[in-house]
Amino acid sequence: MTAVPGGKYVDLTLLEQELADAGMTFPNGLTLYETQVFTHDDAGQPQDLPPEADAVIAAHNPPRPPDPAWLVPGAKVMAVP
Amino acid sequence: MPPLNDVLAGSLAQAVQVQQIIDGLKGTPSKGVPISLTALSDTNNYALTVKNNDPTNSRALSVLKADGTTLISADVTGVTLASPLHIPAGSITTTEILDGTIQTADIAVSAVQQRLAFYASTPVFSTSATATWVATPATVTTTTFGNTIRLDFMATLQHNVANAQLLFQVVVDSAVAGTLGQTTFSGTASSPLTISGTTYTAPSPGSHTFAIYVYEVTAGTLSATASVPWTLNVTEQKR
Repeated sequence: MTAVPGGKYVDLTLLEQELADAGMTFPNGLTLYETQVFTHDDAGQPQDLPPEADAVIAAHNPPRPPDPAWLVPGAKVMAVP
Repeated sequence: MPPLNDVLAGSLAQAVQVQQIIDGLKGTPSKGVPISLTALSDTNNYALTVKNNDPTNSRALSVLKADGTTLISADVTGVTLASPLHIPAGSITTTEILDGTIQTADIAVSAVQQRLAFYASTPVFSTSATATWVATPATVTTTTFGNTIRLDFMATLQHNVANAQLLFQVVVDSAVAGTLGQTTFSGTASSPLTISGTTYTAPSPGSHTFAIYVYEVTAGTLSATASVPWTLNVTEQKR
């Protein structure tokens, strides 16, 4: 699996396009799982991205979407016990 | 120790015989004699009755161990017994247990229903894998004890395609067995949708992993909605 620096925002749709622009297509799709990005084999099992994907992921820098309208500045999401 | 000496019929009691009783009752060192109140056969009376009329302490009985510590004592505070206490089976039932006095720490692990593990976080998750089951970060691993497991889950997701369809399941040990539910996102792309529910399973005793899985029916990108926590609670039920 390819690591994404912790806290970095990833727009998976955009990343998929950026990887395609770099010549890497993943017909079984991509998955962002916390700080890992991977693709899937035909059976759905996670598969590592090729090493060339590292540079694309490093350069990936999409604008972070705004917080949801309901999340007023300074408010905290309710903790779940 | 010599037993109490009998006074023969027709003979005068000797001082030594009377002193034996005095020593026995006073507890004179090295002069003890066994006293056995075991011959009474009386419907109405106790073989031994002791009472201390002092109302303050009512110290009625003290039975000591050789080292002087208490085996049994009875006074105004109640009856005190030495440890360990050997109580016949079945002697203590709900009647003897004061309501509300059993503490959590008194209950053995797996003796009662308990939450074994939980996930409560805002996951970073997104997938474009269509028509395949994908594990989400809502994953916990815990040891179960062979009873029914209740899985309570909640997750909020969005899809970048309007009216996209989604299947979901809470999966044990990565073995997806059918779907638990299916839902359709709204007609507005990327509108959040919360799925929640309860399901049951009964894995064998041991370590197991429980996880929320999703399955994109509609091609596109499925994502965990930002700032909305997901939960997955694993509870082992007993009755």
